[in-house]
Amino acid sequence: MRLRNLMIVLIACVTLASFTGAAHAAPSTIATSDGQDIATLTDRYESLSKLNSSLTNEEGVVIKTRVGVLASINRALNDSEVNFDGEAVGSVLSAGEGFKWANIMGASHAEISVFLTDDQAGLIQNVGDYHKTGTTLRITGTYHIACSEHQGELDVHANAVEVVDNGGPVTHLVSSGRFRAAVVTCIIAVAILAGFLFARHRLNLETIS
Amino acid sequence: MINRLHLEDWRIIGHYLGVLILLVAVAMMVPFIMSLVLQEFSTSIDLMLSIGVTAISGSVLLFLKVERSNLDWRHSLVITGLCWVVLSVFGALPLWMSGHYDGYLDAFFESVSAFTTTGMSLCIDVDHMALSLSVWRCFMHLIGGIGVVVIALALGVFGTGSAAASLYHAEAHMGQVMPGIKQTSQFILKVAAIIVVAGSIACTIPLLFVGEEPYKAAINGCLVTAAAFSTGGMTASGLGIMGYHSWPLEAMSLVLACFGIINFVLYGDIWKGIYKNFFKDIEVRTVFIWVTALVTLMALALAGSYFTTTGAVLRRGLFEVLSGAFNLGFSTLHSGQVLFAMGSGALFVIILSMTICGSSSSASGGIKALRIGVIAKSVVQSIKEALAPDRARPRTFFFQRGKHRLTSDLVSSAMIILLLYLVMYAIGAVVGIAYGYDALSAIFDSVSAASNTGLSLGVSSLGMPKPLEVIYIIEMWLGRLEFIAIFAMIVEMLSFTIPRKKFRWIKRRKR
Repeated sequence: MRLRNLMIVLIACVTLASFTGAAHAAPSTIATSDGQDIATLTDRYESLSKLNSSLTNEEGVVIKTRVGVLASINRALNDSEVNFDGEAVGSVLSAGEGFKWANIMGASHAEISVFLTDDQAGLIQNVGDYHKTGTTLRITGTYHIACSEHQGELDVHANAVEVVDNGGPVTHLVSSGRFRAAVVTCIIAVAILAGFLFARHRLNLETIS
Repeated sequence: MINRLHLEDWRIIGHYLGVLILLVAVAMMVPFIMSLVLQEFSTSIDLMLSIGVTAISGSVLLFLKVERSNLDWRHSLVITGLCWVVLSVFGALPLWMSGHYDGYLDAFFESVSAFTTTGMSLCIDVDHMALSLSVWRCFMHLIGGIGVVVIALALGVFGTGSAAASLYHAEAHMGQVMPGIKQTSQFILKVAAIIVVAGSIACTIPLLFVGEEPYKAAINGCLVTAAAFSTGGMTASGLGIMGYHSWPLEAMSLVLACFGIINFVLYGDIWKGIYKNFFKDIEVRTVFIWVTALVTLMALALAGSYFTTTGAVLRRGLFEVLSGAFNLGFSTLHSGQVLFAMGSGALFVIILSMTICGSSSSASGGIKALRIGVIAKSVVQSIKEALAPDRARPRTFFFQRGKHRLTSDLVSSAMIILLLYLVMYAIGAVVGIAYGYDALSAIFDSVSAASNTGLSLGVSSLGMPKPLEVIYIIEMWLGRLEFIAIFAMIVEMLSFTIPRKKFRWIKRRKR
């Protein structure tokens, strides 16, 4: 029993040590001596990386892209400045003193988290839900595939935000035909159920008599 | 030789399926009322129509057997096997009518995923979907997590006799807390209710702290609780749990999932103050060792990835592996991050984490810790036998609410189920690969579907091939009921439809 407890404590210690070690020992980027990214599965994205590296090597270049591209991870765009349009959905949530989180949805319904200042978040007049279309924003910011400031979150730190469309209430048409069908089916269901209960009650009475 | 089901038996089965379908119609009243309160009137009508259609179907089936009839164990197996599919057929109706799904099959996939507590989703634009429909998805999670049959038993639908016990076991539940099955089911329902209420409060607080509107915080808190405790994975946000940007909420979801993977029967022992049953339980110990090993492996695998800070390792790596191990299905990572930022080592660990899952008689699916514990003990037994003198018969024991001797029957049954799961993982993966998906993604999603975990690398997404969607539906269904009930049901159905001459081993039932 003591040995087992000792083993459990040992395993827990190894786990803790591994995590601490992994957190501190890991290099920020993996690169060969000639600076090539050698992270796993690179080969599958090698062509894409080569295609985009020419863009990201230049300073001050803002890459016009889409939320879908950013959400599906493009390592070549990591830490570069990107520009995209998207609708604010869900809620604008607090991200500490003076900052907010907004979930931005692109045309393909892909979403990405955007880190904004309170002033920038103030431009969002509507957030998209069942009742409303959210404010569509054009965001320019720095793209992180594993943000070190936000515990590895895939995010964009907004540098500039402009409103493309304010959004507003959405009208959901209520189909009168569907409403009638709903009422009729519910009435039929109640009638059938009542019929069954009546039939069973009669059967019970017959059995007793 | 098996007893062939007669037409009379199918009438009884149909009648009780009708009762369960009516229960789903009653359950739909919850999102219907929510839709009225939230003024989502278009959805209210969809839900009302769904309630009507579901109730008509259930009521018509009731007429198959007007007089009271008793169930036997064969009826129980078929009812349990069929009910999860039949209920999903009706559960999908409001989702399909909402227009957020690309056809009925996608809505059915979502419904099966919700009932089996998998959490994979094919929903288009969750954020603009009516909140009442999100409530329905999470309510399906909760019904599935507690167990459709357990809820029906607790309500006294199936009586209290041996049939009730058969139903209880057919739904992959083992052990009793109370003397009767009905009382045990009621106890499970009470425990679930207490955890859901307490969890909802605990999940609402972090949402209020990040500035969510109070009513939204309360609803989302309840949804996250229902999804986490039932080890589901659906939320009202397109980004899932990530969309709430709150690490206390993420931590809380893990705690709730941890409650969800514990054998419900153990809650009874804790309730009675018999704590040793919990700490000595083979499943609790297996899960503890398994999770510790996974966490260690993940920590090693993350070295050299993009996740370099302590916060990132804990909030992304640790959460992801625990989410897999607890069968939860919430993710703090985009699928692309798992594929291209974590590395293949971490990906392998996450796949591994999803394979075993929780305890028997819990809200989780998958192979179950008991079987792995038994197989591990059988290895010990084999070593003992190899080292023992010729005439000695070494014995190995395991603890589950008492000391039990490890028997060869137990080991072979655990091995059979393990093998069936592995075969199912492989079939889903091969079909995915055949459709041109990357092998790792195909394996990942197949394991996730069959183990009812719900994490995805994008294979199970909008526009996936329909045959693959059907395969995943079958995987989720089989994974939830652990094969035997389904296989028995299929054999019973075959024996009913195929002439007796072709199946000589099927005995016609004498009446």
